[in-house]
Amino acid sequence: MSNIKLENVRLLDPVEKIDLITTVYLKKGKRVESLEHIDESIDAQGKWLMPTMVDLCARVREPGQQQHGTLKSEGKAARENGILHVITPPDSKPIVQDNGALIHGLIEKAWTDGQFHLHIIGAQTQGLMGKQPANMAALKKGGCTAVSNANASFEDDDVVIRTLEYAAGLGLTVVFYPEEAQIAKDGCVHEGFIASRQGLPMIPAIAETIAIAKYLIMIEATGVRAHFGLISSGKSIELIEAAKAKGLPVTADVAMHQLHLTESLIDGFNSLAHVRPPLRSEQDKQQLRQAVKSGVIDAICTHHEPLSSSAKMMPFAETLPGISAFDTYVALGVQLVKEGLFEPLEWVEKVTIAPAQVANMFERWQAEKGWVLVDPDLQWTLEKKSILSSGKNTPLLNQTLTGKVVQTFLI
Amino acid sequence: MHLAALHTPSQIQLNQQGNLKHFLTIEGLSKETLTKILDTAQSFINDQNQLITTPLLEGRTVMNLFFENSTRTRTTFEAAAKRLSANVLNIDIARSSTSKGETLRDTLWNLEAMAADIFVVRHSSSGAAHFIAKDVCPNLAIINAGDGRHAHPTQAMLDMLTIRRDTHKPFEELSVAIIGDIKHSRVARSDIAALQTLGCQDIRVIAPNTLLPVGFSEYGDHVRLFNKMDEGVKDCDVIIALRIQNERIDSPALSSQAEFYRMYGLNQERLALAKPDCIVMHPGPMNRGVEIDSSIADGPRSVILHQVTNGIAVRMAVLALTMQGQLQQQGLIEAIVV
Repeated sequence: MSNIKLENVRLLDPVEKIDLITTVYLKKGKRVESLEHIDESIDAQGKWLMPTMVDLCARVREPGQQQHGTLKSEGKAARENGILHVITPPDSKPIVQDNGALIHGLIEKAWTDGQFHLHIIGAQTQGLMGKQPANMAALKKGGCTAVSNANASFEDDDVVIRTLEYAAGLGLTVVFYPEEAQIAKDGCVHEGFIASRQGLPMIPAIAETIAIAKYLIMIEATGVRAHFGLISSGKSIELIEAAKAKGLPVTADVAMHQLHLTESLIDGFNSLAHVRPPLRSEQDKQQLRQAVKSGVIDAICTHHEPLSSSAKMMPFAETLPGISAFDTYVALGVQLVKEGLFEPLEWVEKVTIAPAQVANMFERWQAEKGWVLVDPDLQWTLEKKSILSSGKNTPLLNQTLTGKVVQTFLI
Repeated sequence: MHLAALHTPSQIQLNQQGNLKHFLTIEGLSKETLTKILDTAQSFINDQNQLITTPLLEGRTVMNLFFENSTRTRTTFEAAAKRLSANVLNIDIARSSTSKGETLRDTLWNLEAMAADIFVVRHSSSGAAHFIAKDVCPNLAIINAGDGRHAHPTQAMLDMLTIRRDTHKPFEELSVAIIGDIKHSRVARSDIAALQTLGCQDIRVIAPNTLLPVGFSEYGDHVRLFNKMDEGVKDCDVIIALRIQNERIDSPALSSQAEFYRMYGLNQERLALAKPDCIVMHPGPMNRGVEIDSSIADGPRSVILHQVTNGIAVRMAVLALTMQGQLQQQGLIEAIVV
C-alpha cells in the first residue's frame, strides 16, 4: 500500500496553507504531484487530509511506570490517532537527567516498539530536586533541546535563576509547567464553588499566574528561551501576551481538554476529571479558546497521561492526576471546528506546524511527516475497549464524539 | 457531545424506591427524607427523654471504620448500634496501614467478607465515603461519619434535631448563625445544606475572610456573610459555634487565639444581642475561652449536651433507615418499617 490516490479529499496543508477539495497522490506517506501506478484509490468525499501531528506534552510511562502504559501501547495509540512526534517531560523513572545512553535507548525503543518519534525534555535540576542544575550539557549532547523541572518545585528562586542562566548559555529552551508550590500546596482541584462545596483541597488560579509572572521576570533577566506548557488559567494569558509584545522569547501551549472540560466535572468526586493543572472555570475555558485562536497560546497539546484503573480507585484527592487523551484528541479538535472557533486549517496548524515550531523541530517534522485521513462527521462512542491507549482514564468515557482518524499514511 | 450530561448530582445514596441506602451527604436529599430521619430519631426517644432499645438491627453487624481519630462520633455510633441490637466492631485503622501496601479497596473488601452489613466511615479525604459506596461496597450501607472537609451529615442531622426539639419553631421562622472556621469545616457545610433543605430562610455565616469558604456567594440566597460578630448574632434563634482547630491557630488564616476570641468568641455580651430564647450549640470538642466562653457552654442557653443525646437517636435512625434501604434495594423487604 504505497501508492495511494485520494479523490475528493479536503486537503489541509498548513505548510503551504492549502485548504482545497482535490485529488491527492501519496507515495509511501509523502504527497507527490502524480503517480505512475496506483495501488489503491480512495474516494475521500467529506473527509479531511492533514499531516501527522506533533504533541508537546504526553507521558508514555516508560521507563518506570509500565503499569500505566508502555512505549508500545502508547506508541500505537499515538500513531493510529495521527500523532507521530511525541515530546515527553523528564519525570520518568529513572529521571532523564544526563544519561545519553538512556535517551538514545528510549528514542530507539519508541520507534521499534511503538513506531513513533519520541523527544525527551531533559531534567532542569538534578533528580528534579530543585537544588542545582542537571548536567544540561550532557543532556544537550544526548539530543535534548529543552529542559524542565516537570511538576517538581524548586528549592528557592535563586535555583531557578541559575538554571535559566545555565540553560541560556547552552542554547537550551526551558519548559515551565507553572504552578507556585507554596500556593498550590496539596491542592488537587480548581479553587471555586464546586470544589469548596465538596471540601476538596484547591489550587487557585493565582498559583499559576504568580509563577508565570515570576518566571517571566527571570526569563527577561537571563535571556533564556522559554515555553509555558499546559496553561490553564485565563489570567495567565494577559501575562504571556504582554511578554510576547515586549519581545521576550516565550511560547505557550494548552491541553486540549482545557478547551472543552471544566471544574463542573469533578462534581460527585469524579476522579476521572482529576488532572493537574486542574480543570478550571467556564470563563477560563473561553479565554483559553480565544488565546489559542489569537495565537497568544501558540499550540495545543494532548497532555496525555495514561493511568491504570487502580490509580483512580481511591478517594478523589488520593487518586493520581491524569487524563488519557490520545484517543479523543482529533474528535475534540474537530469539535472546536464544529463549534466555530476554528476553520479546519486553523485547527490543523495548532496541532502540527505550530507545535513543531515551538519545539524547534519544523524541518524534522516536515521531513518525516505522514498524512492522516479524518472523517469529521463520523459519530462514535468512546468505550473502554475501543481506547488504544493502556489508560482508560478519561472523563469522556461513554460519550458520543464526532470526528475520528479513519486512516493514516505513514512512511 | 453534551458534557453537561456527564455530571449529575450524585443520587447514589438513594435506592430505586427513593429511600436512603447510604448516608453520605445532605446535598441532593429532599426535605421529606431529612424530616423522615428527624421523625425516626425522635421515635427512639421516649416521653421521659430517654433513648429506647429496639431489636431493629438484631443479627446485623455494624463496623466502625475510623481512618481518622474520633471519640465522640465513634462512641455515639457504637451506642446507637447497640441500642438497635446490632453487633458492633470498632476497627481503628490508622491511615498509614493502607499505605503499607494494602489498598483501601482491599482492606474494605476483607472487612466486607467478615459479614459486615453497615460501614460507618470516617476518613481524612473528602469523598472517601462516596468512593466506598460507589466503587467498593455498594451493597453495604455506607454511613459517612465525616470525610475531609466535605460533609458530616449525621452531625448536621443531630444539630437539626436539637434545633427542632429545643426551639419549638418551624425551620422557616428561624435565624441561625454559624460562627468560626467555615472554610475547613465539614460540619458547617452539612449544617448549611440541611438548614437550606429544611426551609430555613436566614442562615448567617460569621467568620474572618480567611475562614470563609471560596465561592461563598454561590452557596444560596438564604446564606449571608458577616465579618462582624455583633451584626451576625443580632436577633438570632440559634447560634452554632464551631471548633477552631489548633492547626488553624498556627496558620496564616489567623493572627492569634486571643484575637480570635476578641473578635469571634461567643461571650455573654454578644449572646445578649440574640433573641432571649436563643439556643447555643457546639459540635464538640470545645475550646473554652477560644470560640466559646465557659459560662455560656455551661449556661442555661447551652444545648450542647442535648446534642450528644440527640446524636445517638439520629445515628440510630440513620443506621436503621439505610439498612432497610439496602434490604429493600436487594428485594429482601417490601417497605421501610422504621
